[in-house]
This record gives sequence, structure tokens and C-alpha cells, in this order.
Amino acid sequence: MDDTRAYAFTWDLLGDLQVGRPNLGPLTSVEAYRLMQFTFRDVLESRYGEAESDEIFREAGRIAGEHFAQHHIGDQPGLAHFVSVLQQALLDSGVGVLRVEAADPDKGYFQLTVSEDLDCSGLPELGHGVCAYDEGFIAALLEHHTGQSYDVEEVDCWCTGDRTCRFEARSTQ
Amino acid sequence: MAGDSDTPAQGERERQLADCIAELRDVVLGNPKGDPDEVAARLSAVDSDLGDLYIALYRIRGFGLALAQGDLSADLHVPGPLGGSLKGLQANLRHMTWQAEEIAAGDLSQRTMFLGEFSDAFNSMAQQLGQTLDELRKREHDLVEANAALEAAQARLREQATRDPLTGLFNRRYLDDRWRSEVARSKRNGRPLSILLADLDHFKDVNDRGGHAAGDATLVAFATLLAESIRASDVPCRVGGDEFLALMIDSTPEDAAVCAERIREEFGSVEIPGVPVDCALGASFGIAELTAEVTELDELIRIADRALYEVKGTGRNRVVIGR
Repeated sequence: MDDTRAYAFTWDLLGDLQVGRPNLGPLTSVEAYRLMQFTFRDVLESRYGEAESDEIFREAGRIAGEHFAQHHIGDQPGLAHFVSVLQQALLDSGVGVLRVEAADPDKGYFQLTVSEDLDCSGLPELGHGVCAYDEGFIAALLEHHTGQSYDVEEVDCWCTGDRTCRFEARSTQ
Repeated sequence: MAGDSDTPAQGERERQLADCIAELRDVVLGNPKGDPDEVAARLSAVDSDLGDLYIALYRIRGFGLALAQGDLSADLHVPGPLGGSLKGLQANLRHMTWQAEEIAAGDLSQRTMFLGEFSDAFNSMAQQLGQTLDELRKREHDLVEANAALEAAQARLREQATRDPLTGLFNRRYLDDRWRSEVARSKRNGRPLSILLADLDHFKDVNDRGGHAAGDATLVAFATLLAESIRASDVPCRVGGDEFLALMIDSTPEDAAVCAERIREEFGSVEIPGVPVDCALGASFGIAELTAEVTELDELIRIADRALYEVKGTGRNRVVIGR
């Protein structure tokens, strides 16, 4: 462990919400979530540029996906069970509605969509995708299930006017 | 209307707009004509937004028609709620296609949560399929169990039909069936086949003085000795009250006689509960061989019986080969 770091991620950093929020409970508004995300984006983009800040979000998404899978998905016997449990976990967390459009695990290829996405649904059309965090998140989820490393690219986004986020995942092996 | 315009320029403008409306109507309500890029360019000359609108509607039209025909592979790049809704529908249908493939592969746990009533129907179908499959599996299990019980019962019946219940040796019915196949095999392989016929000596005396229990014990003792003294391939049978016969496969009469002699000697020393010690219990043997002339079982039995009669008439407790 690196003693010089204050925020090397562990699940414990999310805190004990039952103790900490006895009246408000574990949920918050999407507005509050996006307020934090897009102010972060503002600062990160100002300091590091758009591409680098996207990469920071992507890397953070990977860490989140890895821990989310450990805590909410676990080891599932087969792709169908994995998808079923993941769909429910994403619904319960209010992250989005996951659909599998195509899956070929043998070839290391998946095409997924997430509608009502937490990060982008309802945003103005910006002419480019904004779901770099989701790309990392999904890559980590697939790696958790398949044991293979994945690159994930968002090919459609609410912010490109497509109203649903579509991701293509390809194994790097 | 062009005719109502104040100037020729206004009239021309109105005519162009009317053409544009006609093209837009065709792409939404009718059938578009001509190359879409050329039409869009013509509309853009009137108003740049009209050309973009025409292309967007043209693409949405093509995408919608493809969806309606079940083609889920089409691509659509039209921003906004209309294009987005169609792409959302495409995503739902693709997902349910994948789910249907999973169901076809045997995963009946698939449930979907999109498309309202269609989802309800899909989930109901998957659930019903699962229940039907469970029921079929249960019935198959019951059927397999019933079949196993039936086969066991049939095996018991076959056993009862071919075995003597007291001694466990084969009965005459089984002997008749087996005889035909053994004769065929003997001829085919050019191997000898003999029968060993045995009759207990003084068995009536055992019954009279020791009772029927002693008689039964005697029969069982001899049957056991007979079965243990011949090879597993030979066929030991009980063919009468105290009369036994063994099919001696691949055996000459001399081979059979050696075996019979061994049985005779050992039977003389067997202790049987209930049999009076002074009872002269023993066994007489007649042997007969399958030949080119003598092939019927009854004929062989007659020859062996004659040999046996000879033994009985000359002091019993011997082995004689009939000719």
C-alpha cells in the first residue's frame, strides 16, 4: 500500500450509509451526482484538456466497475446469469437499463446499450459522447466475468443525439 | 398559390416551396422519387434546413421500414427523439433476440423488462416454457423409474419362467430353448456337446423317513453340488422330481463322465439335515452325446435314460455312458 496516498480506493471509502444517513437513506438525486461529475469535468478539462480528462474518467470507471462487480455481481455461472444479475444491480442502483445486443464471448466481442444512463440521459446534444466513465466501468465488468481484458468504445450517446448509449467491447487478447 | 402572388419572384418562391412540401410529403406519407442526395440538394437551394430535414426523414423512413421487416442490423444517425426512439426500439429487439437465443440454448431464466405488454408476454412464455420443461423432466423421471420397475418385474418373471423355484436350477422349458441354440453352435464350431442325466438313489426312502423337508434339502444339496461342479458355460437343470440334467458344452461323453464321477463321489459325503444316517442316498448318472444321427434332445435323454436304467439295475450309484 502506498502510504503517501490518501484516497487509494477501497469500498470502505463509501462509508456506512445506514449509520451516516439514518433519515436521508442511501440514495441521492441524479442532479447532485451530475453536478459533481460535470464540475469535476470542468476543472479536469481546464487543467488537462478534453482527451486527458476523458482518460482520467475512463480509468476511474475501471476502478469503480471492478469494485462494483466484486460487491454486487460476484461470480456468476455463465454469461446469461451474469447479465441478469448485472441488469438488476444497475437498475437497483439507478445507473441505467442494460441490454445486450450481441454477444460472442469466444471472439471477445460484445455490443451493449444502456438507456436512461446516469451520466448522459437528457443532456444537451453536444455532438460527441460523454460516457468515458461508463466505458471504463463496462470494461471492468466484462473483465470481471470473462477474465480477459477489454477495450470499450461508446459508439452512440444521448449527447450525439442517439437517445441511448451503445457500447462496443472488444477483447484485447 | 403562385397565381395569387404579387410579383413573379414571389410566385417562383411559392412554387419552389410547394415542390419542397411535395417531396417531404412523399418521403413521409408516400414514396420518395429520385436520388435522395439530389432531392436534398434541390431542397437546400430553397432553404438549407429543408435539405437536412429531407435527409433525416429519408433515413428514418428507411430505418423504420427495415425494422418493420425484421432487419435489426440497420444503422441510423439522426439526432433527436424520433431517431433515438427508433434506435431504442432496435436495441430492445436486439436484446430480446439475444434472450431468445439464450432460451433456445436452454436458459429459461431469461426475463425482459422493456416493451410493456410484449415483455409481459415474453416473460410469460419463458416462465411457461420453464414450468413445462420442469413438468416434462419430472414426468421423464417418473417414466424412467416406472420403466426400471417394469424391467425389474419382467426380469423376475423371466427368472420365474425359466427357473425351478426350489433349487434355482433352470427348468425344462429353458432347456428346450437353450438346446436348439447349443446344437447349432456345436455344429457350427465342430465342438462336442453332451448331456449328463442324474437320478437320486433312494430318494423315496429319504422322503418317507425324513419327511418332505429332508427331501427338499436333499434336492437343494444335489442341485448346489451339480451347479458348482460344472463350468459356468454349462447348463444345470432340474427336469423331474429327483431327476437332473446338465448340458455339457464343448464336452465329450468322457469329459461329462469324469465330471459326473466327481459329483457322485462328493454327494456321497455331503451331510444333509433330516436325512437318516442309514439311508443309502446316492446318485446314478447316464451320459449321452450329440451325434450326426442323434440331434433331438428327447433322443439324447432316451439314450442317457437307458444308461441310467442300466445303472439302477446294477446296484446304483455309478456313471454310465449311453451309446
